[in-house]
Amino acid sequence: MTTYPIADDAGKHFAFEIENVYLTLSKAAALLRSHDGVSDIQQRRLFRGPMDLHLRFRFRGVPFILWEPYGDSGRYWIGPANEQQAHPDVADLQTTFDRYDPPFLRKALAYLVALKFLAPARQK
Amino acid sequence: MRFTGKERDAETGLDYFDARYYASRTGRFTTADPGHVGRNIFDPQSWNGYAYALNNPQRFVDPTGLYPCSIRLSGDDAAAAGVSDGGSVIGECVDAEDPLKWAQRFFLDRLFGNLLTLQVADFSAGLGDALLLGAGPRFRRELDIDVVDQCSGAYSAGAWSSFAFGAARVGHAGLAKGASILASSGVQASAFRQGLKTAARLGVAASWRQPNLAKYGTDEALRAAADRTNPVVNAWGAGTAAAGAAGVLGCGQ
Repeated sequence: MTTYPIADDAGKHFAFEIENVYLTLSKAAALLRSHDGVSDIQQRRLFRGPMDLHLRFRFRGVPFILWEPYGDSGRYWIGPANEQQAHPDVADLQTTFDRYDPPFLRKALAYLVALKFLAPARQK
Repeated sequence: MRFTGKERDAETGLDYFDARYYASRTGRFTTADPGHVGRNIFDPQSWNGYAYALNNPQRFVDPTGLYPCSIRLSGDDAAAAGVSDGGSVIGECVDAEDPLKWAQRFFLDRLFGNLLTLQVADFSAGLGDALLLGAGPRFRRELDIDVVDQCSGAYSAGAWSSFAFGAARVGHAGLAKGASILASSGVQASAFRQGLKTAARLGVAASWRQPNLAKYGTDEALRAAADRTNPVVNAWGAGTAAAGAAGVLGCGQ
């Protein structure tokens, strides 16, 4: 699936985004769990805590989050919980999501629901 | 073959109803309801274990001797009986051997017939049918619920409410996109979107973290983030609006 890197002014790749129409939160948690260096994955409980913050986990010991901007976005933002602190490079974590190939029906649903057929260029 | 197509015992003159015999001369079963499985605490007519079909044979039949059930008419049969096609009175017995459906129908009869008004039921159905993207009538058919009048004013009001809800969602997405284009910077677009989100969620989301330059690195990336809304919810909103409009206009179809 397509992922979108986010870099700071210095060009350091500190976070990335994924299109949430392609996978469930459970699947995202499973992908994170399969990655070396990820631990303590906590999924948000129903009706508890901010509804935009879906997953908390540690990546190489640093607190990370999977977050939906405004609680209403086509993408999940995955990066450090506190951008001001030192944090590891996330390129290899992003690769885990890059390699994920959603099931055909999920891709078909995404294609229809996200109106990909109207603007295929926006997929990139 | 005699009463409701059941077999009559020539020697006793009783009609065989699987679980027990029926005496057509008295209009009663000869034994009580086995285990009293047809009893409903809300309906005194069902408390008599010997009564046939709640003492209302025009509306109900009891093919097994256990549970009364409603019957429907369609086509020529409906016309002959003076009810609308598919009307709730006559034809095939729909829940003869299904205790769950029997209990469910009685519960709904009591709930919508007595405790709440039919207008509330119609309004809820109009609202719910559109929120379910038009699947509500199908569910009701599957569950044998026929208390909803899709041509009533209450049903239309419910459908209009769903239309308004869906249209508001689509409008919300359009506002977010429009503001991100017109804003002078990504920071401004994000601030507007944050306010829009807070208003849409009636203030609940005011404390949620706001996308900023620290999270997106560049102003353009922040502007793009403010533009995006959840496409699944957008599609559902558009579908709800369309189904709501169809519900308002679809009486009799």
